[in-house]
Amino acid sequence: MNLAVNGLRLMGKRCGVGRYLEYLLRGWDGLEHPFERILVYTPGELEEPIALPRDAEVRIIRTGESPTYWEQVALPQRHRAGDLLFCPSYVIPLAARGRVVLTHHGSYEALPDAFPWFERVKSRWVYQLSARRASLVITVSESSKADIMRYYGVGAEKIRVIPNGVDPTFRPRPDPAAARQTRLAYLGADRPFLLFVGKLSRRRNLPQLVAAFAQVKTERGLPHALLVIGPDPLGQDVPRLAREQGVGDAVRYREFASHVELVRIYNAAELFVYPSSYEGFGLPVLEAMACGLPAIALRNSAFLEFAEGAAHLAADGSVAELARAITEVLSSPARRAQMRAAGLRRAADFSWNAVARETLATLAEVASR
Amino acid sequence: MLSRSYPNEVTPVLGIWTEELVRHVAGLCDLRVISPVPYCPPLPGLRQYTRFRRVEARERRRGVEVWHPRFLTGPGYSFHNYEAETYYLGVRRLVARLRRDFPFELIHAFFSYPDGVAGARLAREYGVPLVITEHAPWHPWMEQYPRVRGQAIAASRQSALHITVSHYARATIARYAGESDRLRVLPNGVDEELFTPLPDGGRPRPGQILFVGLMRHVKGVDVLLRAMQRLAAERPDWRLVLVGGGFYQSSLRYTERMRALVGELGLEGRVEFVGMKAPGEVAAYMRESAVLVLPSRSETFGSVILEALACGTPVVATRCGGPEDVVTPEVGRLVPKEDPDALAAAIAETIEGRAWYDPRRLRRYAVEHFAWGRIAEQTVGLYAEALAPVAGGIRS
Repeated sequence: MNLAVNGLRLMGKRCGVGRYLEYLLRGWDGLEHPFERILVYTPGELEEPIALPRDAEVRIIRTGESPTYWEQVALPQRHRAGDLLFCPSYVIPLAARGRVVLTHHGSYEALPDAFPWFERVKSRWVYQLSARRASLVITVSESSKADIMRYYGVGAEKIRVIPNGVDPTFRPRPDPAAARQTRLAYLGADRPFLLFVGKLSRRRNLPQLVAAFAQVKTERGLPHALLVIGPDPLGQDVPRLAREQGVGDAVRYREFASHVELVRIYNAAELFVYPSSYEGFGLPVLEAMACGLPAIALRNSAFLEFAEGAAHLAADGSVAELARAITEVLSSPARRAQMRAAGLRRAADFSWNAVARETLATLAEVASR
Repeated sequence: MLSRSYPNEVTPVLGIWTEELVRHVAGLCDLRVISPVPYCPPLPGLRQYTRFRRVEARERRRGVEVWHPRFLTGPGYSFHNYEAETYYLGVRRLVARLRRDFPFELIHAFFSYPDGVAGARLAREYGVPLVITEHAPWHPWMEQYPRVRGQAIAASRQSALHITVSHYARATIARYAGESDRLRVLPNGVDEELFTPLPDGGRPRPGQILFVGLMRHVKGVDVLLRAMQRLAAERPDWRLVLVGGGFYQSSLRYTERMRALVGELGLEGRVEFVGMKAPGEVAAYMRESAVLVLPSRSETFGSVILEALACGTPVVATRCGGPEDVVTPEVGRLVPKEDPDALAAAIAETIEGRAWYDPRRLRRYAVEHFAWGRIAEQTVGLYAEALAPVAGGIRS
């Protein structure tokens, strides 16, 4: 029996689920498992190459059609019923024969306002069907498990919680010259900065973050900049938000940063802010903590599980709450030092190698049923 | 094409970049190469100079017709001020003869002096545009030779296009010849067939740090050794491999000093001097190493960076001129020059993050931007620009 992997999310520049799958594939290298081969199906050549386990190969199924067509029609046609299919991103091909394991990264239904209604309607039924049809659902936090049970009616016995990990290259790098160069490269000046990394989804409250940053900066006369890194599918236009708040000069935006760049950026920042109203996991917060960077997140969902006591959890994503949290952390070096130490301790408990091992063992278990 | 720096039987690695470019341009337009070599009478002894007598007057090298006329020069820089004149006298008659059945439309000279200055005179005589490629910065050289400076500035101003290999080198020319649209940057290329990565799934030696270059003070090997000392305590398994040597006494002396420094720093057994290697062997070292380090104090371009990247190996280089044009955050690290602490930290970061520098991505970057075929196409594009009629008459 082979392990087939739906590699749709490996296409393009990888963030979110694409990175999750990349970490798993890296972590599977050299592990024992009952599968003959690991077949990673993709709709085309990968734009960004990927390090695969030695017993894995990429199989390209070309269609020229939409990703949905590829996932729902082309993939199940090619996939053999005797193989186990692993779908790392919310959705499975509903026509797929044989056993399927799904990873669900957090239920959108928990936060209806954050998504347009048509997306909710569309995703609701396909997510629900996927979760119900799958032999097993892996999810990344207890809060996400509770939501999957509640919104999709999936039984607890069919859900396995395996949190995210953090790559060992995310670690403190005490190198002031490098940090200075990183600030020059990304900000155009050697000034302290606040950092956000992640797709600019609505639930992540970017307008509120920019407004809170502007408020604190003005009130306190801070020299700080704000660096925002992540794709902007909604067209929120961070530079415009900054200009509207009168801090156009202090806010910098980048669509993407590679893994090696992120390590340097986390190490050059003063404070990480991730004001998300809901996350299945919230990996960038863990990565910031692993680099010794104090982090602000919100008091909700998975943050209560892995970030409580290490990150500063603000009550909600309102401008007032965010401004208060930023002020509190920035004005207290002692608080930052304590957060740094606690964050490092906490992050040490999370490793992609362990996640990869547990995930592969779970897949093997389903395959052996 | 006028290039004194061009490989021949006696000096096979002299001006190899010029040859690479010429070879690729030759596929796109009809060209002849004139590469003068020093004239030396058949005296006994003086092997260092009489060896040039072995160079054939005309040869076909790697598919390109190359003429080697003689010109008068002296040892070292003794004749430097007058080389453009003797160079011109050395090639004048050959150019006139070639012209009869090869009516060239453009002269491309490599190095502003003496090639560019002689080329300028020929271009005036034949009424054709001149393109100069400069591989070296003009500073501090131009300070030392005022007579050369005047001629080189005049040649630059006469040229239709004056190409440099890095923004750093361009700035040094602009400083003397004045800022102008004529000054362009076109990098060196890389031989993507020679410099290739390990096969897919191949793993580099985890702690192998590589230096490739001449053994000279300007290359900063001493700084790299001091960085190695800083890494030694925490990383006893990391090794430094030094590939390269030199032709001159100064290189031999520097190498000896470096060997002594290895002892002083307690790095015995961690540093290997492997000497000069053929390009194929250099490529093998590059692809099997965890990182290539270029610790130079000054570098006009830094071709080894590109070669390492084409081999899929990340780089750490100093901010010393040329590397700034090539090393992006995704393919390696730039550090201040003469800073062993920063160099050590960058080497450690790169080796520890090595799994995230995908060799295929590094190679793609090198090949997409710097394959010789691509540089040659851009060169020919510049020829077209130089040949295009200019409003207001001939460029001068």
